[in-house]
Amino acid sequence: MKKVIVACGSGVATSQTVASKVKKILEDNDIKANVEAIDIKSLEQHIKTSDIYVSITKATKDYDIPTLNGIAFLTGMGIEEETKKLIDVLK
Amino acid sequence: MEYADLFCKDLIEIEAEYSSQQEMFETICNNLFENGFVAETFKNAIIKREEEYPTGISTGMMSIAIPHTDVMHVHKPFIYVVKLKKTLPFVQMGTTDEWVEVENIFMLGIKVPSEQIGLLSLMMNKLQDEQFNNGYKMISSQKEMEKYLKNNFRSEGK
Repeated sequence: MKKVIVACGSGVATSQTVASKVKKILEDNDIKANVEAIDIKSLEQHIKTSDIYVSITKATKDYDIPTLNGIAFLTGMGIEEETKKLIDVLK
Repeated sequence: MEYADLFCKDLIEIEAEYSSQQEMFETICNNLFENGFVAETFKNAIIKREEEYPTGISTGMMSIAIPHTDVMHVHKPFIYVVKLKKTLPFVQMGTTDEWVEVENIFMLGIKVPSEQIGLLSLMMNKLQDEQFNNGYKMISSQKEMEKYLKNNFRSEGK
């Protein structure tokens, strides 16, 4: 199964919120994938085994997997575009 | 967990005027510490977190900041609400150099993250809801705001 990771600074609030939103979008579209909220400190390990990275902090480097703007899932601004990218990669 | 319980009129400021983020954090954190909501370490932790991972957000309808930090600095969960008289600049979440003029602060005192997963989504939904926004903007007293927020956040979290 494909894996989506969501990372924020604390893993306390934002990444969990965005992860649950992403899960809901995938369910609504009948797409099965693992969605995991992670601590940014463990990003490097997770990225190797993931298919999409949903970023909430500013990216300091480029990764080999598609990276989405996590703020869009939080605020709803630009969410259609990020949702489309998400579905395109996972379906 | 009942999200409505997180609001309390003593943790609400209406038409507050601050000249800087620093001044605002000092005042709020001292208030929270004196009332037993947070540890003394909370203030520095939240200021540092805001510098590293900024929390300014614009939803199109309202611009807010949601400062928060690690659970170990929090004794009792809370949401501290500040309706600012004059906007304060915050760095936008997910950037290091884009600023947003913030009109409202919702400081999150999170103690058990798993119980509060739905809280931020609910809050973001409310902030994008025109009816909620219109009501919120009219409010001019702490007591009224407490009632309004409790009503809007009641029974949503379980």
